[in-house]
Amino acid sequence: MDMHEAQLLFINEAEELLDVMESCLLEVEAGDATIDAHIDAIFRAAHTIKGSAGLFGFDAIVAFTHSVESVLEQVRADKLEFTPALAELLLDCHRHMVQMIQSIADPELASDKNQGTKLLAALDVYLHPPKSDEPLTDTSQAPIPDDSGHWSIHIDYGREVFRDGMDPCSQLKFLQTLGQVDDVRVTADFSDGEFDPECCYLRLQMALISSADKQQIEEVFEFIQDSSKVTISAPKALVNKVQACAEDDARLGETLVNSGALTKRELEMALAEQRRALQENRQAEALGNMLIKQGAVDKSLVSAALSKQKNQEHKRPIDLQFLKVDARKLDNLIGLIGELVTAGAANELLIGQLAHEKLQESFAGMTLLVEQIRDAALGLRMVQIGESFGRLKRIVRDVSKELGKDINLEVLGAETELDKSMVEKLSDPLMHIVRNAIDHGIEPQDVRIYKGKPSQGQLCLNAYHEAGAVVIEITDDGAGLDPDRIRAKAIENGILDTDKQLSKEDIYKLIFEPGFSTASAITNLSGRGVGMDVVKRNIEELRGQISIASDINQGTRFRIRLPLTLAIIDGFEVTVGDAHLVIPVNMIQECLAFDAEALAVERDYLNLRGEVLPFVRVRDILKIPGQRLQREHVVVVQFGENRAGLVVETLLGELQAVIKPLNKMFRAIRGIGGSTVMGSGDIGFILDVPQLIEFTMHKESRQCAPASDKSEKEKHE
Amino acid sequence: MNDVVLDPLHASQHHQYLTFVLRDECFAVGIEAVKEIIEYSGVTAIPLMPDFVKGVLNLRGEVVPVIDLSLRFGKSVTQIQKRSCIIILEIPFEQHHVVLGVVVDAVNEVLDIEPHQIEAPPTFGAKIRAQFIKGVANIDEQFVILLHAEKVLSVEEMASIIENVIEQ
Amino acid sequence: MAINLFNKADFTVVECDGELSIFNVREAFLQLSELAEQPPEKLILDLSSLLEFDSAGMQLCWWLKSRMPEHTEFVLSMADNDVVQKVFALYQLDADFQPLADNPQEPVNGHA
Repeated sequence: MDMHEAQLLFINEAEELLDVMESCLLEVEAGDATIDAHIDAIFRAAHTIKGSAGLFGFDAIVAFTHSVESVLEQVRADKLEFTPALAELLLDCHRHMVQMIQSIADPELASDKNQGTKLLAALDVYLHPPKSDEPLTDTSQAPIPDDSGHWSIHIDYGREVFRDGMDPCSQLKFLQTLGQVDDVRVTADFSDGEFDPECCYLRLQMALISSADKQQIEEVFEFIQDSSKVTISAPKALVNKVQACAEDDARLGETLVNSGALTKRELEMALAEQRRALQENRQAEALGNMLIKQGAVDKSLVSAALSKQKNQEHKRPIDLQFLKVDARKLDNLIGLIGELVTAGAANELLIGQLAHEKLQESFAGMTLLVEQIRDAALGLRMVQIGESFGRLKRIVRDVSKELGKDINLEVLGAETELDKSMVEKLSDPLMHIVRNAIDHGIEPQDVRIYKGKPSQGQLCLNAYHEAGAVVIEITDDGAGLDPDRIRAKAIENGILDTDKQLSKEDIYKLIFEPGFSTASAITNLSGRGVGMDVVKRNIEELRGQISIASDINQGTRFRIRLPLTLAIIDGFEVTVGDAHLVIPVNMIQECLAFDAEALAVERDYLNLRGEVLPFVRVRDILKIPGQRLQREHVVVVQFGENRAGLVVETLLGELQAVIKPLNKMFRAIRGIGGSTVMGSGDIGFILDVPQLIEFTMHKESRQCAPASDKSEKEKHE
Repeated sequence: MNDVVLDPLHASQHHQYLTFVLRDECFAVGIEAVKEIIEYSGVTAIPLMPDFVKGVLNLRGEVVPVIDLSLRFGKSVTQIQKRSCIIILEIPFEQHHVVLGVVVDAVNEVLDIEPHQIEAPPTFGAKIRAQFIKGVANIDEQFVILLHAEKVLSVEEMASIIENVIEQ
Repeated sequence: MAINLFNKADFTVVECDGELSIFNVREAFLQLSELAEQPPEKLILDLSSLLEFDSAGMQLCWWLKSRMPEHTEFVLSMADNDVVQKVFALYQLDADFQPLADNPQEPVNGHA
């Protein structure tokens, strides 16, 4: 694994942990759980992030998370009460940590340093409550923690320390916050050539009685680490602690770091030295020796840790509940299973020709297994949608706070599973809809009371499976969409012709048009240039549909319907000319024989049990060459509220189609969503029904354009 | 003819070119772009496409677009004959590689052509867009036109041509 | 300006005023260099009216003391100046630049 991959893994892990941290904090804040129930998980998240960030040398993250962790530790030890104010602060810290993690992946998203400093200062208030006015020299009253010891600290200040804006005084002051500083010995060596008043000639030595670990102490000297020589030696008492630290299976270095006798930086330096030695083909020294040589730890500490490590070697945990797998490996597996399905179909064709009953039976058994394997493999990519909903909870909380609205969020069906890649692509559109609902949907409290509604607004997220698809609904009990206003706005923005009459549903759809925005006052939250058109496009990219239902003053419901997976669909195979086409089965209502002669020539709709059914001649719209067959069929498809007929030639039956996206070169193609390799080895095209209908409408409207346009065009040609 | 699978190890060598015949002229592409050469068969037409897109073929489960190189050069359509082949090429696109096939009349051989043997393309007369041509080499008294595969098969450019055709 | 030099009785008085920190130690040093070249018999370094004082300032005072010969009587006065006292307290130094821990009975500003 190279560094980059390892880093990605770290980012991934950190994001997951931050999600856990966030949802726990939110639950506690909302009163759905007690802090006692979640503090361990929250603490562990912060602790793990700090540890891994240290391994990668993300010092800013380590430093910040360290403070967060320290506060959490106090909460865990019941030394600090978990107040709403603290919850708020920790949520802000969480947001800052998310930013810091994101800025690793994308340095353009630099995290706000000022924000970090502010948060650290706020955390510090919890860590070091202002003490009573103790005289500084009188430290005899200072409490001495139980498992304390004397750390001895030597600092040989570099010449440039003053000029770098550092003052040893501030470090001494800070050390006093960690514990009791004793036996300060400061010496100044002016013998070295000409005295320069701006150079620092000081050397400092002291004893520190503190329960802080080495990392904490070393952080005090973070900014002079490069210019000065700082040696921190662990107290003897820690030797005992290393021996006592019995549970976790940690290697020597980690053991020492965990017990607080060694910092991550020192460990890294020693490990780097080891690597260098190996590269130069020198005999690498044992880590322990190296650490002793560096002066980082005492010899007795190392031997204590080593003996502990030996004891632990046989006790690795076996009950791993989760296994992290590279997403590419999984995609690869699913790809192979797609091939297997295709190859299975090819064999089925051949076996069908043999009329060998036993062979057919045994093959049917195998087909069943292949289907199960396919479903299980696709299941590996499935995650619960709750993960996405968790993020929405945060948005609801933040946005409603910002707008001063009281909103209750109800989440249903959080356990509904969906393809992981879809969950990721869904989070932006969902976020946008939810923001819109809070911002524009749910009225301010006074307006609600005036309307006779409860002052608390309701927002509901619901996810469920329905006939091979996942449905996500976002419902609010707000003002609802006003068709007249939308209409007026659309006309104003030039999206709609003044004289065009539309149904209520069609008017709602106008909000998905590019350049449409109903926000009468653009607030900080919505109207940031991303419109509902982007939402619709995102959903369509997932082969999904979005629809709106709304009643004035009752509320609005957005309904998103998505396929279960992006990899394989159940399709119905038809042909037109030489082309094999696949229609998604879940859209098909029925198939009819097409009686071409009974139809008027210039009319593309038919009478389906008294209802008008417009139809698309697939051969014409896709310009498929060849002779039209005598017998044609109509496949009646339904998508959302729309129904249409597709005129095709032969109906071949159902199949499982492994979707192969078409090359980017063909991005302009309309009505075809992808390709698939069929059992025969032929390539078929998967119809994108909504797009095909739209394309037909688009063409028709151009053909029906006023005659003047046409003659003008002809003149040019 | 047997399918020829080329050793990828040789792909890193710079001066090797695969020569082929198209409309009685000899062309060459750098061997590093060539994945394999297959017989012409099993190409499925794609609806709505302009003529230079022959279709897609199933290459061991992968759906690979096939381009008529002659039409891409603005010449007449390639007639499929006994010796017609599809050269499968890997073209860099947006940090990835896309796999494309081109139809040619016949594949000749792999040649070592040293840089000093390559002359600048003629300013006109080749009847092919100048930017498609890397240079011309004189091999045994025959001119070989060395092609810039990534320009000839620019996904971006072909996509916009397709877009224009479909929009009409 | 920060440093005034004058004689009072048989003492040479160095009175520091306002600020003695990294921002003006070079200036102060130039003024004090002369004194270091020709040490007086008795020197009072009066820090009692300082408003800003840091380690660089303290170091300069220390240097001045180190340049005084054995026989020079050097007195550092900080009176009850809080800013100066705090710095000395942090370093646990007395006005003779000796560690406090060695003679804990002695108050910080013993010579004032």
